[in-house]
Amino acid sequence: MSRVFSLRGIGGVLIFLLLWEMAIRSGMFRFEYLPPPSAIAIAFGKLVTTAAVFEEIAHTVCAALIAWAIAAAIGVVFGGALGLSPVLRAYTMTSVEVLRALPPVALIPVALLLFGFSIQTELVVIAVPGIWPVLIGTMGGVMAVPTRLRDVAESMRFGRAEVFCKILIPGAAPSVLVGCRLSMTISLVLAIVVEMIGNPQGLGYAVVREAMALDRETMFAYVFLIGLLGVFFNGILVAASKMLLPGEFGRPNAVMRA
Amino acid sequence: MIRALKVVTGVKGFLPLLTGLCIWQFTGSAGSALFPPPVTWWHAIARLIDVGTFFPALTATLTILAAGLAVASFVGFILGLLIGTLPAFRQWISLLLEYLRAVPSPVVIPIAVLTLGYTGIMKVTMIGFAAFWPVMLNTISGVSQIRGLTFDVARAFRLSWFETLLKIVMPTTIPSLLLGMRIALPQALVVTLVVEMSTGEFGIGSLMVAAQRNFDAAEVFGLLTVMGLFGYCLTMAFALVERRILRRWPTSA
Repeated sequence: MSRVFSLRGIGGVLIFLLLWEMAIRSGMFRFEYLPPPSAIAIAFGKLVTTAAVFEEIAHTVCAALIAWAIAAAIGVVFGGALGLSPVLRAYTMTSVEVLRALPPVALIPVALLLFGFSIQTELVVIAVPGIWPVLIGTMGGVMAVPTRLRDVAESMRFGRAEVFCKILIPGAAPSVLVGCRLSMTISLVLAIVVEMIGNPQGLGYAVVREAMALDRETMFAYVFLIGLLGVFFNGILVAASKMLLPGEFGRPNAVMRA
Repeated sequence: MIRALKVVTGVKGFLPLLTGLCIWQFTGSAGSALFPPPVTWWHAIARLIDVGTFFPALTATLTILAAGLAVASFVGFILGLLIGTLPAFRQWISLLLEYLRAVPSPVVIPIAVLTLGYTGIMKVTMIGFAAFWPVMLNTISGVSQIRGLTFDVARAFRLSWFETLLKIVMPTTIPSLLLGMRIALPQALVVTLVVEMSTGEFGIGSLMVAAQRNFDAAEVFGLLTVMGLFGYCLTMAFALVERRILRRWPTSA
């Protein structure tokens, strides 16, 4: 992170903003609806002093977190079962692969049909795609626990509960956490998408609302705010995985490579 | 023999899905408003084909997807090469990229619509913006895996920066580019659908939204199935092409 916030990095952003501002002011770009950064900054200042925006942030973040918790719980239970039983794997994995390939947004019309414009729609659309990374991570983690460790457990006459607590859980934890992290990244994005198309509440809807009102500065301010929220979420996730898993899984780019 | 075995395990894996669909088919009533049985999905799709909207919509979605993916791969590869080979450029641009990566791409759709209008360029730009990240990140990591010795050889031959890029860096990073494209493909598909849903531009996404607004559950489920199969087949096809290309690719970097 320290390399990202170098002076040159900040300089790069400033140059970008300056070029943008100049391009608009000089009339070089004739995009009617592209405001200069200074106007967006003023709109952003106005936006964060209103109370409504905090309600919208709370709604989006809560929906993302609740759905993520549901997804993680389901993913860990089924992923664990699949990791432990080769028979179950043989009879379900192709189905899982097919369901996993479903584009998450394709669920929005289905959920809208079943639940209408409601928080349930939002939760379902966020939670279902969020299950897969956790499920795959947990399954992989359980399968990767070395058989030698299980042999050791057997020779030490561990009971089932002990094998579970002392061998399986610690062994699978790193990849479960990677799955959870991936799932949380997805959940914030999906929360905003559902709000844009489905449930008219929260930050996603705010962007669409301002766009329809042609209030371009406020719209950009909302997008900027959502970006900040994304940076904040990402920062917390990176910090959490560094704390929980010191070592290779703490790397920031693990998300993209997993 | 092994291939036959694999197919058998694959078919076994379909069992829960098929059983679920069969139960749905035989216990559901055809008139159900919310949970129409699977056979009615097929009827709904057949109806769309008859009306003549299904294949044009599928073609529209596929065309935009392909164009967007091509733009994303091109931009991602170029940016990845620049960032990977020029440390100074990396330092200047890192904070900007780090921020942009945190912005969920669908949020940019209203901006793209306002600035570029309801055009093909808008759609391709959106998909390009959403899907170039994995390509870029994989290209960067591909460049960083090239051994320093290789660059020393380039220097000994007095290759210019551009020649080094063309003759050493680019061929070595092709596998990373392909991996990045494979990761980008589902993301591009998602954004294509979101763009079609939120702008109403013609395609499978807007067909789904239209079906949902008409409370035509069978059509929604049918299109959902089509999209699922579509995504699955695309990923499979791409993996196959990738393996074919990489089969004779020299592995040493």
